[in-house]
Amino acid sequence: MRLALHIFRKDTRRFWWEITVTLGLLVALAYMDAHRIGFIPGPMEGWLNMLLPSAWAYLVGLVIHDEALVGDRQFWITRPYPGPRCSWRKRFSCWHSSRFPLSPQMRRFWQRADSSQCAICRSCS
Amino acid sequence: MLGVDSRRLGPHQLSQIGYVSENQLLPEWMPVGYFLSYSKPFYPGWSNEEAAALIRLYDLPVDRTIKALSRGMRIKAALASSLAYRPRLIILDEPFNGLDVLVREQLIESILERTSESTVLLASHDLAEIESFASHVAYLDRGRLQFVEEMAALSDRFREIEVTLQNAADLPRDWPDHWLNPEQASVVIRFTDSRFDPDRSEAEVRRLFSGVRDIAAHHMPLRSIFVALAKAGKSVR
Repeated sequence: MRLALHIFRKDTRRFWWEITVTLGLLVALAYMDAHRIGFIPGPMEGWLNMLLPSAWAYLVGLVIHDEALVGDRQFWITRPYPGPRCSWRKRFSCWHSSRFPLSPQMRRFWQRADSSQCAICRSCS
Repeated sequence: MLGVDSRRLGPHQLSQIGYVSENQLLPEWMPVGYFLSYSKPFYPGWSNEEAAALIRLYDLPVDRTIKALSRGMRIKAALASSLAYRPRLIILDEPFNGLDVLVREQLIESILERTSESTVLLASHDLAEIESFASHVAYLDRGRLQFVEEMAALSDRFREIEVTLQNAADLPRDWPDHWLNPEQASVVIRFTDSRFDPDRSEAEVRRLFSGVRDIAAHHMPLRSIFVALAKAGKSVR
């Protein structure tokens, strides 16, 4: 776990610019979402809703392809870190890079769902 | 390798193996200093003092990224990251290709100084370079190991023999297998004896040739031995 975090820190340092851009997109989306009136998003928010998963996918791709795990020239070939764990470490990085921005968005989604449910309840009663 | 099948090496064995190859992929974006500090947690035997000494010795620019390094500096950075944990086995795959003589000498000296209790396995086509410091030699031909032998023993058992006859004669029919690459020019016959013994070889020459005027046995450098073996194209164990 210690080594996995060590490698994760390295990946964060390596892709800090891409991570910053992704987080920037998330902040922009969260801001628009919080200040939106009504349930239907505007055009900009709609674009961001599509762009953000693409940015995550791009980030995940970067992490996976940055260091090859196969071949006879790759960096990990003689490093004392087992191959299967290396692939798990990549999954760990991917999971973190997607989970971190996803959590506040999911919370926001459930908040919205709750409030819209309440609105439906109010209109029914 | 280190008592374990090389296909089943685990982290424990790998933490005692250093590997430097001319084709090895390194994280190009890392500054040299960060590369060394990044490598440190993987190796329990890592010594900060040793790493600092290697940085000073190789004059490594710690702030420069690996991508911006010359070939020699890149090999030095890879070596520093492999020597800093004092591995028991160091595998060097053509590490000195394309480096100037001074850099080669510096690298060889630094490796030998730091590996008195380690095994260094060096794969190289530069035989003159190997000859200067190798204690054992292994010969691979088309992926097959032909022999492993002590350098001194190998050097002792190979000689280029030059036989001068009084009159020109054909090569004998019962030509020994361990006499390689025979060449004849008038009364002079040359071949490589792969099992040279001063007394036995001379007696064998005198038995096979009549009218021997002179026999000369020339010492062969490693390069000539390997050329002779490659020409003969067979194992001569």
